[in-house]
Amino acid sequence: MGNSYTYNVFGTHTDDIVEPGRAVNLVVDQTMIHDVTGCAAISVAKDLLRRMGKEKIKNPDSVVIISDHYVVTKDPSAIRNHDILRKFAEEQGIEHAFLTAQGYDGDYAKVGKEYFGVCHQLMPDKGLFLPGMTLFGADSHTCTAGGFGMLGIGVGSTDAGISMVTNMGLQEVPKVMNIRFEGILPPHLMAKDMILAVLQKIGREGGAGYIAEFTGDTIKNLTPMEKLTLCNMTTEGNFLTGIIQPTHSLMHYLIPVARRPFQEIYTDKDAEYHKTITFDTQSLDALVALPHSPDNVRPAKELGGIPVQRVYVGSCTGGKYDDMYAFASVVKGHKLKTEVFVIPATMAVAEYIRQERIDGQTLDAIFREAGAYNATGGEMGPVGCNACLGGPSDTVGYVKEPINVVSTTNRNFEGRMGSKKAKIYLASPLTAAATAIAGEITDPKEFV
Amino acid sequence: MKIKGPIAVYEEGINTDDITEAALLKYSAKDPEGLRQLGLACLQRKPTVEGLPLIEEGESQSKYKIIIAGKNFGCGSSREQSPYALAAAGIELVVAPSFAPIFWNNVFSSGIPLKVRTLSQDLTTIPPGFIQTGKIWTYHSGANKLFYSGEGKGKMEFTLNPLSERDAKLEEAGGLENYALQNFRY
Repeated sequence: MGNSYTYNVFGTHTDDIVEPGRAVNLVVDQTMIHDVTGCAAISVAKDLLRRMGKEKIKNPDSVVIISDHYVVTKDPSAIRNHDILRKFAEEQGIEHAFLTAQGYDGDYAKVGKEYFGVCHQLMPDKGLFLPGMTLFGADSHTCTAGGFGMLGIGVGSTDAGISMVTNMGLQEVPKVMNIRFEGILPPHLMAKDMILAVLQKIGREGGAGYIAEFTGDTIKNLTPMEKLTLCNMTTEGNFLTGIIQPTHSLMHYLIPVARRPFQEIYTDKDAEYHKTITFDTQSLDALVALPHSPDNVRPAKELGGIPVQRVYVGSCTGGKYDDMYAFASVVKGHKLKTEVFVIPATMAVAEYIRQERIDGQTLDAIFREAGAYNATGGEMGPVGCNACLGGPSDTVGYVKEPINVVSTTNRNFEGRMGSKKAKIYLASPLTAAATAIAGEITDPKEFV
Repeated sequence: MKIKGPIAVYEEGINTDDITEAALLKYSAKDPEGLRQLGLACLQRKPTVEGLPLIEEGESQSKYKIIIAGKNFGCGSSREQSPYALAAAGIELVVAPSFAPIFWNNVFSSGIPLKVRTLSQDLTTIPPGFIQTGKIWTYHSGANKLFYSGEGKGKMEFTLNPLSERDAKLEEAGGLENYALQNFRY
């Protein structure tokens, strides 16, 4: 029997035997750290360098260092983290550094030209999601990279510190679960609904010990951004990561665009999987994850009547190009009943909002007219993770009241976005848009 | 080695936001003052099943040494601040039917004096009163067994699940940094 895409990537990155449960010394092509996990990783890296009798990382080109999590805040400890990252990037000659400007004090207007946004959208925007390669990211949503066929593993600061210095990790080989989606994705559904369907079926621990490898014709026809969304939430099911074999067109596109080397890897025709689950895409509903767990999933059409005070559109999960387009396509021409936060994942997404048009009207104008900027002072929200994970209490979008929030983000634990009394419902941008119009949870089928 | 002390009992699904809420992530666990803050605030939002706090008001450490929890302990984010916070609070062992993978891996990579083990036995089948916050339990690492031998119903003993290859290698090396020095080239 042949290898899955996953095992073929493993096979080119280790001399050890690739079988489930084995601990292999894995070549780590790239390491990503950000402002919340990066300082500890830098401490570990410096400690290891010192013990090795070295001062510099051997391959600074393999490190991506990003400020994105606690940026739009005046909290001095959060600001200090940016200084630590900046100093390390300079000392080590790290080129792929996307940090706040020297002297940044939390005033977003002075964030600087290099600041770009959320790590898992920054990397594909900057040609740093590389098919067939391995990524250790000090962030649980590193699984997003699988959307481009990159084996992206979420790790802690210690693993990231070690891989920055040595380009190696000690990785337990997982089993591989084939998750097949067959059929055409109906126009009112998005990849977010697909991954919520997976979580509904297998539960929060259903992926433990597995990598999710997505196959089937629905998958082939997803846009690159939608593939990122699909892989992004595999961590919520305790999968080690999610991955999709890239299409030829993506790989050809990446040849001049990728900033670092990548390789073409394929799933063997007779690939062996340890488990297979199949979905009939056309029979899916628009789904919502109810508080307080991403696997507490029910169809939106069964939740009518739940009043919603706020809709948050953002994050690596739901703040990308396709997400903004989808939200705009529904809210166009309506006046929104809920408070809305439009939080672009990166500066490129923000620019896209200003440039992309639907029937001659920019998304920016559509949002403005609908009232989607009322909560952010009449303008698009600032770029970054912002309130997806709460953060310091002065963060944009931080939830202070015991309200109901529909969010395009990835987690809805109690207190995730601020107040422990708030209730967070996770949904696709289409469902979020329908909800913003109606003021209560609404199936987007009514508008699409 | 032996870990003996009072247990604290938690429900299932204790996530990394419960252990170290987002506002604390501005602290690095590798910074002494940061670590102290993380320890003090550990699980402050989530009481034991009896409604008790991990750390009593005015104290800087927990009086408990062992946490016995429900499934999927540590679910959520990759924040390594979470295992460090538990260790800084004085917890030496967490036992649960299952753990979230990134949290679990971080404990072994970090090399900190916190042990995690899984238990196959369904703890809800045990007569009430044994798995109760404050009771004294003992863990013997060599035998990988957990004992209750207090007054009343006599000795209760559980064999915990063995470690995987990765976990065993890292526990033996004392963390990934030591393992890297021995096994990875610069």
